[in-house]
Amino acid sequence: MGLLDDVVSVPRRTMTLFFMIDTSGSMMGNKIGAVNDAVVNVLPMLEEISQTNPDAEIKVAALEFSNGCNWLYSEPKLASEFVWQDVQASGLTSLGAACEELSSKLSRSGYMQAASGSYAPAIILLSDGGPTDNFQAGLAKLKGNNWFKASIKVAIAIGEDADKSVLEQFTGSNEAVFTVHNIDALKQIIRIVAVTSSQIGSKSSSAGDATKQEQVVEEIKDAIQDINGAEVATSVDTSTYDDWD
Amino acid sequence: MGIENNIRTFFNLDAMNSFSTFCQGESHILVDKVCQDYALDESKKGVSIAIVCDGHGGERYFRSDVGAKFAAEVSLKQIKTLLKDFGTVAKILEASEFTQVEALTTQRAKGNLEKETKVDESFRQLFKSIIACWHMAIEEHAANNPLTEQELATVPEKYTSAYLDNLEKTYGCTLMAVVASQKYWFAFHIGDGKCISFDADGAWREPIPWDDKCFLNKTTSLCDSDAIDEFRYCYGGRTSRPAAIFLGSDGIDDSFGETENMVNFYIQIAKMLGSGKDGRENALQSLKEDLPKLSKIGSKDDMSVAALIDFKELQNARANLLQWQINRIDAKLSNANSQKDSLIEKRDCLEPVKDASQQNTIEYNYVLTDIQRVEQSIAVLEKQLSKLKEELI
Repeated sequence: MGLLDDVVSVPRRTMTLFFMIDTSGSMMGNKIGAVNDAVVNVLPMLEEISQTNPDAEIKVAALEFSNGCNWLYSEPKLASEFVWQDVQASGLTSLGAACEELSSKLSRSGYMQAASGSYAPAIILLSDGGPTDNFQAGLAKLKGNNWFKASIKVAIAIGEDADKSVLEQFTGSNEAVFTVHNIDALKQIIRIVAVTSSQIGSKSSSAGDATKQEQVVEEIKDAIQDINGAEVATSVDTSTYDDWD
Repeated sequence: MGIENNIRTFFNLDAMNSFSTFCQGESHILVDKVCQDYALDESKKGVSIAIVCDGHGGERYFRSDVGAKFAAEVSLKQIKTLLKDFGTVAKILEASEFTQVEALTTQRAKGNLEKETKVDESFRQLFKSIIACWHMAIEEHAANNPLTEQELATVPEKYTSAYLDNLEKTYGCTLMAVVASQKYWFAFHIGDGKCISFDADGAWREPIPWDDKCFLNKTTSLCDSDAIDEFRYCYGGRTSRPAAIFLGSDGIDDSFGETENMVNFYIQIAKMLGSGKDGRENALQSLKEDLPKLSKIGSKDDMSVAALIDFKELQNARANLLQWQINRIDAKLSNANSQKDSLIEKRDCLEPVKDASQQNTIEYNYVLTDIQRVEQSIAVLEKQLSKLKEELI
């Protein structure tokens, strides 16, 4: 009888990547098309990170919000098994409701497992406008959630009309909000943010004292330097104009 | 029975035994980082003590391996000093039922500050002396060991330039300890990691209250400015003394996820310990061999286990511990079979017909995958059950 023989289970640790996607009417057309395209293309990359990562497997969950909010699936799926179903754009921007819904799933009775054996989740918020519901109430609930507090949070502001102050409040830092001004930049930044968050978020953190959030933001900043039409939301350079045709 | 108990007490047969071991974690090996865990134990004159400390991993805690070692050593010394003059408090402990005390920070947050008893006062004094002596030890170490070239080369300048002003952070660590005499026992903890105890009837519990401030990679610590208020503890007389008490650093519980998986692991150790005269040596040897393997397939973190054991009670508990394992697998099997039934039902409802929607087809394929997964899980559980049942014979 050994200590690690057949009767002892050592489950693989898990990190969940959440996409929160604005599917309001203003996203209609190229923007939502680019989001659908980018997520479909990034899933195989997440699968590869998950398979080659000895530390943890990656699960994916997606929440779309417009008039209300809706999970694409009723539980997070392994990155290797996540089948993306194209989301459609119409209606309002219920970001407050989405925050409340996310908070309810960031719990043991929701999508999370025991804190022991889990990595903090990574949350990517994409939006091109401002909330049309009670965002502050939803955010207040979310901010009291321990999983949310510990999570990696990055927001992508799609175009100049995105309410960056709302996105900053969500991520807790203006440095974690990135603005894109065209379709190509949007596609590229979704890939960069999803891959970077997954790579850093699913690794043991003995590498350094910088938080995973800081590491993710630094790497994204470096990576977007070469992308035409993408910038840190705080950038003073406003010479880039939106081009969504 | 009364005579037997008296004889056991007279000859120190009622004393607990102890062991401890720790090893470098897989992630530390890969980047050539020292082991930051430390564990020790001692059993003398009817008193047994086990201690586990875990140095923090971030860059600013670059001497936390030393901090963990000092924390364990000063705690052992301060516990022994306390026990020398424990008179009245020892008497109270002997007569006490099992009692748990949450950290003062938790009590305050809940608005539920308990009235301090003589026992609480005594423990608070112990924690104060541990913190004070730990500070003295790290100050002396820092004075005698200026920053090395390697530290200056590898640690960010913002931490090395101000390290003398933030010594406690540089050496920051957690601390968990258990003490048992023939008449009472107590355990205390600041930080993460887990303590699991087994009673003579095989029942298990986490005797020290948990602190919700320890969540994911955040932990309370000896280096916190309000460390004195972050200690939580438990105590009791001989009647509540467990048959075995295990202390494990967070590298252990992060490897197992659900607490029951970790309890199952400790039961494997407990069964080995209770298996005869070579039980302790066999268990210790297995731990030394298997903890690095566990780190590799589990948390990748440093690993520490320390324990106090009453061999006789553990031998008596063996059958119940095994039965708990069997019941657990039985329950998991039953759950998996129900899950399989409901998935099959769902599959039959979703079976794609001509012109089925994309959503329907996707859900159908997910159900097929889930059925495969649950069938694999059932096969593993049946194998585990059969292995455990062999042990019954």
